[in-house]
Amino acid sequence: MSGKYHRPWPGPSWFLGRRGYVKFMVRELTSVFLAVYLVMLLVFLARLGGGDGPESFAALLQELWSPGWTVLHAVTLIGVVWHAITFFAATPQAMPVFIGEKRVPGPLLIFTTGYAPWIVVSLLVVWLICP
Amino acid sequence: MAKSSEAFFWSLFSAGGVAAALFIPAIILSTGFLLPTNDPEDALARAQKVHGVVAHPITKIVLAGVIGLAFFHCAHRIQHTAKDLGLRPVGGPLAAACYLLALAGTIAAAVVLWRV
Repeated sequence: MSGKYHRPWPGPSWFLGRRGYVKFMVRELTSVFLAVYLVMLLVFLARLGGGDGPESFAALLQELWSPGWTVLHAVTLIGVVWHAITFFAATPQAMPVFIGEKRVPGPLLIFTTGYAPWIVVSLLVVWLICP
Repeated sequence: MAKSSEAFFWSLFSAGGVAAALFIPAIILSTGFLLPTNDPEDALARAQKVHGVVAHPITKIVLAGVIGLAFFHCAHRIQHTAKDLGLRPVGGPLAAACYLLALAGTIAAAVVLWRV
């Protein structure tokens, strides 16, 4: 037989074949929602700059009071929250922690490295910048 | 085995994932739901509060770090997902383009924050 063997590829819809693969692809695609918001955030932060920062940002806050912006924020929020939930869930696999010979249980690790700091940081952010 | 930089970019992906997960949801909540208002006086008061916080050097450093790392997280994940969806033949240039875009985003964040 001549030539290298190349395993046949089922095509870009391969992930639709199993529920686990679909969930994987949804998890990976949360990065797109995150990227979209990051660009939005840079645009918002740019309004804070320059000599008349607060006035320009105040105008932005009134522009953001609109259904379109609200829906866009809701969509990106769902994506980023799903990213956080799935990312925390993957921590025990990526970073197993041992105390002596005993492995720290997954749920405990997920809470202490994920949800606990998440709540603290979120409260801090909202307390700092929100009315 | 050929030398690979995968571990380096995976580290940025990992750090970016943590930074994004911890900070971005609260920021989206703020810019999308808690800060916007249709009252001009309210808007100015809120804008001044936000400006006061973001203008602080520590806030700028933290924000630039979070945004930059989050961009690299996205670049790594999008690059790998694109390969998984069939773009593996152009994988090299695709990865380079993604990481260069992430670098551009990081620099943009630093410039924008510097000007606040």
